[in-house]
Parts: sequence; C-alpha cells; structure tokens
Amino acid sequence: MPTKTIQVKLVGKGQLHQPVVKLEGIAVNLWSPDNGLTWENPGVQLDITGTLEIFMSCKAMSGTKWEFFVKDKAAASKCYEAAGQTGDSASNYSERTTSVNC
Amino acid sequence: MKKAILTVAIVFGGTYLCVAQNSILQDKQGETTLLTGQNTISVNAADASTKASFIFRKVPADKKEWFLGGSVKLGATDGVASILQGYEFNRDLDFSMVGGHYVTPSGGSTTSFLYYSAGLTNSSFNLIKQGSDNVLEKKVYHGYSAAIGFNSLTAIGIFKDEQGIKSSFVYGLSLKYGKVNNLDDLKSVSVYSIISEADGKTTTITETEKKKGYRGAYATASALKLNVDGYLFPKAIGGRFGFGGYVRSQLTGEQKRSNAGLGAVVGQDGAPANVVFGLLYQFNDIFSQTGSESNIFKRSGLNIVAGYSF
Repeated sequence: MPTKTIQVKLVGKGQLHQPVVKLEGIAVNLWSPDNGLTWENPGVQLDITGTLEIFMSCKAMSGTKWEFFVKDKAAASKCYEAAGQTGDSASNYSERTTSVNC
Repeated sequence: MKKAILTVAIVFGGTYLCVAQNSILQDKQGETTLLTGQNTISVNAADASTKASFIFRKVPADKKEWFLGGSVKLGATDGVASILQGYEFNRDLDFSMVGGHYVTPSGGSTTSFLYYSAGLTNSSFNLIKQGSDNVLEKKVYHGYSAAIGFNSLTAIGIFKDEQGIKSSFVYGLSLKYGKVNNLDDLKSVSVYSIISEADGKTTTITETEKKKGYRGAYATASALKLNVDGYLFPKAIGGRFGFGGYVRSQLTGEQKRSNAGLGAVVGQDGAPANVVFGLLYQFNDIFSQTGSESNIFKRSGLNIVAGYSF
C-alpha cells in the first residue's frame, strides 16, 4: 500500500469560513496564510489503495467564488479540481464529494 | 483707487472627530463596527480621509486563534472642500489596533466573532478666540477610545433568488468608551481677508489667507457610545448590492445624540463581502437631543466611500 504526499488547496476570491476537507473520510488540518482567502495543507501523508475519496465544504457570503484542488505532490497533474461559488449547494454553503484515482 | 481689507466669517454646518476601524462600510466620520476581515484602502469623501486598514492572522481550521489588525487614517478636519478650495490643511489622524476571535456559529450563521479595539486620535483645527469675531487660534485635540464589538454574517430567508438561495445579512455592534469633543456642536466658520480694489467703474475683490475653523464653547469629555451597523445583500438581485445603514448613539455626557445613516453598498464580483463602494445619507441627531437645528435635513448629509479590499 503506497504512502503518498497529498496537497490540498482551497482558494476563495473572498474570505471562506468553516472550511472542511476530508480525504478517505479523515479531516485534514487546514491553515490560512492570508486572512481566510486560501486554506491549504501542502503535505498530507496518506496510504491510498484504489481510489481516493474526497470531501470539501466551505461557507462564505453567498456568491463568493472558490477553486479547490487535490494533488499528489509526486505527480505532474492534479487528481481533482473544482470551482464554484457559495450558494450552489445551500444559501451560504458549497460542498463537493467525489472519488478519484490519485 | 480705493483699497480696503476686511475679515469675513461665514457659518457652515459642523463635523466631529472619532477613531476609525477596519472597513469600507463606514459612516461620515469613518467609523464602523464592521470588520470585513480584509485589508482595505479606502477614501471617505465626507471627512476627506484616506484610510489603510489591515488584518493579519494565521488561523487554523478550528479558529481558536486570535486575529490581529489595525488601521491608519489621515483626513482633513475641515472636510474635502477646504482642501480643494485652497484652505489651510488641518489634519485628522487616527490609529487603531484590533484583536478578535471567532465564536462558534449557530444555525445558518456563516461566521461570527468578537473583537476588542483601542485607538488614538490626533487632530488640529482652528477655533475663534473667545471675545473675538474673527481671530482664529490653532487647537490640537488628542483623543482615545476602547471598544468591544461583535460581528456576524448569516443567511436570511428574505428576497431569495429563483433557486431559493437566501440573502446574506451582515451586522455588527459595539460599545465604545473614549474621549470625545463637541466640535460637531460648534459652528464651522470660514475666515479670510478681502482686498477690494475699485477704479470707479468696477470693484475687484480678492480673498486671501483663507482659513476654516469653529466658533463656540469648545469642550472635551469622556463618553460611552453604542454603534450598530447592518446590511442586507438580497440574493434576488444577485447578492452583490447591500442595503442598510448604521446608528451611532452617544449614551453619556453632555453631547448625547444618535446619528443614523441609510444607503447602499456594492461588493466585488465573486466576492460580495469585499465592499468597494458605498453611498449613504446620514441624518445627525435623529431624536433632536441637542436642539441645535430643527430641520433634520439641514443637519444631514451625503457620504461617498470608495475603496479596495485585498
């Protein structure tokens, strides 16, 4: 079972609140270096077998745009990327759930 | 040729000074209870000020860490028109620091936090000497303040869009204690010398040494203020335009009064919380507590604030 270093990054055009990222159902610790616009963890150590389950949610004033990606640091391309705006899942909320090869 | 030098005093409405905080959602004196949480640069037309505000923090996802920030504001005590018309510049300098922490959101709340702030004001202005009609003397005011405030951003089920997405509502309130002055109660005057030259057919008048100032019994005191701000961003019209205003109530001291502002603001595309422009109309002393002017529209005025959040 290979251990991989995974990078997760959530970037808002405005401040994002209560960000949650889960990989394989485990919550990832996130930091914001810039006032809550960016939330990231550059090195999540994971043992991955098969597909990687990804969950992301965040809150902001409705209409705030965001971009999110998950990347194996050893690979050239991203495993998963998504973009949206709060209010696409619920009033001040965005949520994505997927399963990808990474 | 006849030459005469006169000194004239003209009376206008007043302004007053306060300590500013960190938002473009501000009143005519640059005051607000709302911290947008962003770095901002803004220009406030009413008090001729430019303000740079900043929040620096590194917040883990559990949000138990404090955030810190501050603002610096430089304005003109006598208003923007005095600068444009070549009057002497009188500074209005504010510096404030703020610290805050998040509180656990409930229900549909997006974020809520408490903050604590402290600020210093240094400003200069001209005051007509007692016993004189037109002799100005320079005064310097040193003010201070401390405040505790609360901010919340929440989704609210009115003016929803076609998909049923709720509107956003941001509100803030604060209790503030500090030193204030009564410049707002004094009459603003404009003093200048006139050189009149007549050649028999025409008279040429030249205004020189133009200065603005205040007339009346100047005083300072400590006072407690309650400030409230609230803006609704209706999703039915896209969620970028906010409508609301503020109330500023001085609860203690000889200058008790409540000022209120109503108007609209615009947020950035894709980041509506980053307000970039505001147009508000402020009504001073809405309960006529000071009795200075019976017509409320004569003690009111428009304010324009523009800025950038980053």
